[in-house]
Amino acid sequence: MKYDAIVVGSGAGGGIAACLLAEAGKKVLVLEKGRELGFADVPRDHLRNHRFAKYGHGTGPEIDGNPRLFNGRQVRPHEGGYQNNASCVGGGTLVYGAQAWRFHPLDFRMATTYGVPDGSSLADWPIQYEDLERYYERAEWEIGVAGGEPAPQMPPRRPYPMPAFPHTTKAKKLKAGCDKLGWTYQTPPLLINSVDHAGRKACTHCQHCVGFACPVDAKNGTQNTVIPRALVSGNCVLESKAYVTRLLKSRGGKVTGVSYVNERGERCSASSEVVVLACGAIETARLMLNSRLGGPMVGTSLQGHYYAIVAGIMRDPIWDGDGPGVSISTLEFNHGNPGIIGGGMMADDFITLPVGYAMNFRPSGVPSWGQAHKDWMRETYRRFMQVGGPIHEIPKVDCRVNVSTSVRDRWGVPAASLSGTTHPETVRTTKFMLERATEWLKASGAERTYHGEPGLHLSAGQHQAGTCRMGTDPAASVVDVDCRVHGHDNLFIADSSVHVTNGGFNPVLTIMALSFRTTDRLIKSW
Amino acid sequence: MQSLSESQVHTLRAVVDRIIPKDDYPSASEAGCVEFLLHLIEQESLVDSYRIGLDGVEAYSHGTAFADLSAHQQDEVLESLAKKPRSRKFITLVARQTMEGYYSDPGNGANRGGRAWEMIGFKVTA
Repeated sequence: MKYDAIVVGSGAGGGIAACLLAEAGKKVLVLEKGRELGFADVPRDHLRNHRFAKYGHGTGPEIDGNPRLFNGRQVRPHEGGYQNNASCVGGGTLVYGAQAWRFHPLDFRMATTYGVPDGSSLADWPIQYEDLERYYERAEWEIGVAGGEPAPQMPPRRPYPMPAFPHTTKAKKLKAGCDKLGWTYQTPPLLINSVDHAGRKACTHCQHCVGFACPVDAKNGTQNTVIPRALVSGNCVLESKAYVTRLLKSRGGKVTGVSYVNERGERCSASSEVVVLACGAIETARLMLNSRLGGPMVGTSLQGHYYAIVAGIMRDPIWDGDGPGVSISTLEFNHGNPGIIGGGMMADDFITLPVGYAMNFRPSGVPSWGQAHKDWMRETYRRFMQVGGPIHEIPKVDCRVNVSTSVRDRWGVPAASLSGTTHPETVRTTKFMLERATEWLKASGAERTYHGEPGLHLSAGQHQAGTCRMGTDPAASVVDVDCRVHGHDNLFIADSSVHVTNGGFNPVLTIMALSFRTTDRLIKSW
Repeated sequence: MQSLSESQVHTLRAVVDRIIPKDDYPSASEAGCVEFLLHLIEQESLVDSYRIGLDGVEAYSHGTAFADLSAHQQDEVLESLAKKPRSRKFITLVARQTMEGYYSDPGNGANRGGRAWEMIGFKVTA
């Protein structure tokens, strides 16, 4: 059968596109590579999750048969360098931390605000905050955000549908630190039910939030909001374990559908009027490249977020086990930092699991094993907190996704090959933010603070973005201001691939807002 | 792939108990780390690295079985091996994987009764 639209991927972007199209009466086929997973399928395994994936993770993609190349080295989905994101119905939104930030208005105008550093591909977005404003609001209300007043650095907005989570014990300390420094602060907005909402329960404040599925389904992703809406409409078919290998084209080059492998391992195809890609910045670029679509910019300017994270040891225990755990933030340093390009949001973090603390937060001077290590764990775990946040990355064209000429996946499709390192300005901004985070912890009573030193590397990970950037010039971008691929009037991209830059914030609400906008405009012009 | 010999397991038990010694909370082996490691290294194809590494520990124990040395002597052996280019990698590996077992969820088998979590004050409430 011929569909009106095929949506490839069911994460933050794809789920919303499918819902809006189906509710507008279009016949929609959603092809999701991963499986449908719930709390029972994603164990609370501290060694296999999206925060600690050394031996695997609770979601897809499957460990075997899905290789990538990272700077020439072949890697599996749970290994360093792969830049994995959950592959399942709902994508990353099943297991994310769910911070629901809007980008700052200046995040859309980085080149105008700061100039373009040599060797970078820094550019303004072709749309502005005002263009996304009402779609941010739709994402906040239709997916479901809990939070308080907007930060004073942000434009005013409609209140969220749910009240903010209360401050934790550590947030109260950090609040006192802000007061001392004269910094403004707020509760980070979360796509999590702070109260019973939309027929689902309130958060139980458990200790396993980011990286895990929610035990009471209080975390709002596409899998429990817009995808059910799409299915209820009667206009949407969702095929999971359906892996799209390439896009189909007519002899004239028009996109006519997709070729895919279904859950039984059969090769099949589906045709449609419109195709919407939402596989994440790495897989969308790979699919475009393997389909020989989109021109020379496809796959370039791959970016994510550097994180400026500082550990602090307080005098007295502050661990209260009150999840999700991220509870206070400041937007004092997203912009306006003297001599620095951009900046980022800073916040405390989700509850640090013991094994993560043992492996990632040992300061210099503490031996890596023995009684002294055991004593350190025992004496400091409940006194520890971390603050930090995502740095607005300065992109470079040669940070990129290519397709391998030698390594293929289990279906014979050329694997994604990732290469490049970020621009040095990203590292400079990170160092600046490490100083601010240190300052915050000290003002909040930390006896000791410490952090790692940032170097040049490729950053993509769960916040991957930028590989099919939006722009008006087809020579310098992949999609137009409607996220329609230049030269293809029926091919759209509804994920973070289109981000020109990735903001100094967790990007998911922007992905959602953009998908609302792209799909809304597609329907109106259909 | 051959699994560890009985004597290699004996050495491993003594090694992990210096990585996380017993005090008023369990040692690594009491918490289940040996069984955890035997399973993990098979899964991760690390058996050979462990065989070679553990034989290296014995070779450095000056004719006495490593397990029969005093705790102080055992620490000296491990510290010396941690400084040598050829054995450094193994000491780092076994220390890291022992910690991973001891401090992770009891479901992984090396944090019996959740005692490590009780020790540091981590609680699961929901």
